[in-house]
Amino acid sequence: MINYNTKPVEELYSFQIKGSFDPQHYSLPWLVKNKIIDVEEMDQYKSYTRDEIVQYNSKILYFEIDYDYFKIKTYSSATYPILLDKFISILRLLRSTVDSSYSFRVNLHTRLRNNNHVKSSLTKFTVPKLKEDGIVNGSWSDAVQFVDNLSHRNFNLNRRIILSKCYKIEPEFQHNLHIFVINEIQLTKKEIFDRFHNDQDMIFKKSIEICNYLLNIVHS
Amino acid sequence: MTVCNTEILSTTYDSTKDEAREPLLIEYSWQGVIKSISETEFTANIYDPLIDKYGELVQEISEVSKYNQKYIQEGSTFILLLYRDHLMRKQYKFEFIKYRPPSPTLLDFQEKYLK
Repeated sequence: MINYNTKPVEELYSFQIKGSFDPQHYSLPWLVKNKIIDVEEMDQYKSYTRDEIVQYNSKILYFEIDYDYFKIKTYSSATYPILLDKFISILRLLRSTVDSSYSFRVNLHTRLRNNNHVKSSLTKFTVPKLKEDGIVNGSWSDAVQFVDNLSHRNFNLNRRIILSKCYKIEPEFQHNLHIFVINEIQLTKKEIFDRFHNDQDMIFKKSIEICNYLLNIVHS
Repeated sequence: MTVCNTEILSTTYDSTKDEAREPLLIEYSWQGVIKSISETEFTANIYDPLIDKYGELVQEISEVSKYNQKYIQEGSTFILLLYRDHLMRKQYKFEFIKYRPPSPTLLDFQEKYLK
């Protein structure tokens, strides 16, 4: 469980692999047959379909399979080790049919005092320079994105960091800010599992470090 | 169904509000490694990552979900979750790490305690 500098009101951690999938093929019995979940565990899962997207959830792990992706996610950092555990099993199973790439996302919702706080938080990242240079006067940004491309020994990483206002209208989402860290990882080594744990651990820790850094800024 | 209409920069957003079932309301968690097992209970070393403290837990096997009991072996790693059920009662749940080796954090923890 992560000790965020300011506790987010909502957290999401997800892995996604892209490829060609027939959602109907990846049923709960398929997950059992391939030892992703235990047969005795099946009754913990609820299945449902939305726009042909197949979804299974145990209230801890959420599987989602569409024609072009296979996603698994969890809503607490406490269950991230279980998510990683399952994702490795899935990647091992599907690696011959998918590209050697995956994405890992950390999506946080953080609640600010009011709309002005949301505006002023986002303004910290963008407007001062534009205002200083007389380009804008009193404007604010409702989203900002930073992009990084990094090369490591075993993978290439494209990381997008996104801060944006949440436009949901329900009271619990008002004055919320999205902090998303989206890591797109292209594995470059053939034997991808040699250092997979260490590499993913590094990506996870860096994502959390970024989130904490941003939480400090927006709440200061 | 509520939909987050934030379309700037990122159109994909997963919200708990959009899920058919709300996720488990987890209040706290620990990581653990089983050290020894008797007929009715097991002893585990547990780690609290929030306060960086180690401790010991003695747990009755019968209180672990049936489907997870087969993972009760020396050296098995698990996550212990404290959560609220639909009546807001406090409950505990063991979730075992089934793939080996587990994440480096747990592996380090396991090595430290099994030596």
